[in-house]
Amino acid sequence: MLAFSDLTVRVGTRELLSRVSGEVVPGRVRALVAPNGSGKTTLMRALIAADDIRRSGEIAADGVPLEDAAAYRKLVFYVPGDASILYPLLTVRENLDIVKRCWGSPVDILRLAERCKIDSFLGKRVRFLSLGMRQQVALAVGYLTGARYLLLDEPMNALDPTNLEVNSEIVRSLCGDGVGVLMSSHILGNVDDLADDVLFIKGGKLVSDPGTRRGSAIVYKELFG
Amino acid sequence: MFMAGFRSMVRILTRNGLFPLFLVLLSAYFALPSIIPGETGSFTFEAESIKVNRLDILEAAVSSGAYDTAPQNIKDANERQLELLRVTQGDDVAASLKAQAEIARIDMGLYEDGNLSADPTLLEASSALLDGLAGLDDPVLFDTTVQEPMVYRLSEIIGTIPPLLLFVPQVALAFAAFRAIESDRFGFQLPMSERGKIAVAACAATVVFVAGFVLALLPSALLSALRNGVGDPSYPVVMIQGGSVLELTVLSALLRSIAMLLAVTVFASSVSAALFAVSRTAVPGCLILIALGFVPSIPQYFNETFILHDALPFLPTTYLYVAPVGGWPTYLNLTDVLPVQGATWELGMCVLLGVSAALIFITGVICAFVRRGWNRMRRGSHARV
Repeated sequence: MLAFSDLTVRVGTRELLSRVSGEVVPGRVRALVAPNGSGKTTLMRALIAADDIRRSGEIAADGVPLEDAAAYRKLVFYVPGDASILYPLLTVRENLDIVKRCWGSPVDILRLAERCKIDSFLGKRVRFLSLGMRQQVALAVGYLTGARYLLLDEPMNALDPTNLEVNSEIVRSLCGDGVGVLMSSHILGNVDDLADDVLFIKGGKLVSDPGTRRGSAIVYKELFG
Repeated sequence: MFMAGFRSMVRILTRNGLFPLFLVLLSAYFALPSIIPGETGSFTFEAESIKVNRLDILEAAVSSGAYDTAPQNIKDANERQLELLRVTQGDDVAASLKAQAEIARIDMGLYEDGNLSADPTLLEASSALLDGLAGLDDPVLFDTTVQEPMVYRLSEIIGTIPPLLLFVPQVALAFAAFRAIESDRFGFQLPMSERGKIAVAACAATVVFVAGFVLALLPSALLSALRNGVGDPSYPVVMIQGGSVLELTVLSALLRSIAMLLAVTVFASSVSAALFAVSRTAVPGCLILIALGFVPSIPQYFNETFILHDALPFLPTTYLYVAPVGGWPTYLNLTDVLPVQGATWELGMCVLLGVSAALIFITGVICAFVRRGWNRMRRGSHARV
């Protein structure tokens, strides 16, 4: 599993999460829900050792510590919600080619592109795509890495209903293959539909909805008003 | 993994709009003198210039009796020089150059006897160039840049390109390479060590620049080769460097300049790598390199009163401008192109590559030991380690 323990996370002088612990289990989707600015993105970026995040605590994926970058990054991949991870001057195909080459993925790009519904614009430069199209490509990049743990930061925000359903189905399928997913989202209906359990962030702490599954919207209202 | 990352980074850099712009600009700059004739300074050794600047003056002086009471050796020298100067007025270039070479040797003799007031280094340089030209199998002067053969043209290109026109693309490519592995791009998450990622970026920036530079040279090389042939690789190159006369051939000057260009590129990449390892962004490396690139153009830099004057031969900034170190063919070798005692091509290569190696080592140390602690706070406290 991807586990973090006693994790404290700061951005600048602001402490966003204080001595939190948790894990992402293979084959399960864990959702992360909180108001804006609570630390969802910060937590995920801490889990990939992003440089603007200061942290203390332990992070490891399948026993591989975060500090062992080469091995850890084969296991964990972060997809931000704004598709900024893509190289805008390259085509969609070129971005995917790089991922396939560098991650040694056996996945066929064309087949993946068809499944993700991005095959019609494979030859287009990313900078000329809409935000929704870029987000589809960013998610495809994440799937292509073959990472065992995917950190998806508001993955469905920019997607239309069709592509939301397509990518939800892909996430379910990946979980069926043993991939663990940590997914932040404001689309609570999608959270209830997709997630096996939900974590909320309140006051720098993680709060779990302990399996009663009353619905994320209800719990959200209780926690945050 | 390194090769996969390297190939990917090369793709990212060459798709950047800066790269084709750099290729087009440099190609055009290099090729234009092969199409539009430019001055070469060969007039210095041509009949008309010699007549006006030496023959007429010496003839008038001798015929007016100015040397009637001079010592016999001076009279003999004048007589011999007049004979030789008249040879330079003929159509035979080889004979003219041989005559000019002997005139220069006579001048050296007069200087050594104390009978001529002159800059001995200039005399020596002039004499060496004329001897070199006269000694060619087919002595020839190139009146315009359009007449120059390939090896001469290429060596001259590297020698006359404005230094910043070379340095800025190096900096831009290094910036683009390290930007590609900043934390907002998926390159940041490449499954390799931090050292590996930085090495990929640095190597790709270096290789892309050098390959781009060679590509940019091709049109000019082809134009001059097709029109004037490859040229004589032993064509003389004589420069004044560090107060001494440096004698090369056009081929050795070209090879030295290419080697120096490679060393400067490696230096630029290693500076970017070290600063990226510290700052995790591409901007500081870019800014520092731009600042370093301007240093040799500061008027006081080569001045004897400069505070670091004694250290100049050992500073990498002294060698950032390739041409004064590598050498280039010119008929106008009248100034010291690298006025730093002790600064040589050999030392420059050692300094640039040595500093680069040190920076690479430091980068490795930072990646291996320091960065592990930088983003980690001491457990149980909120202080930064």
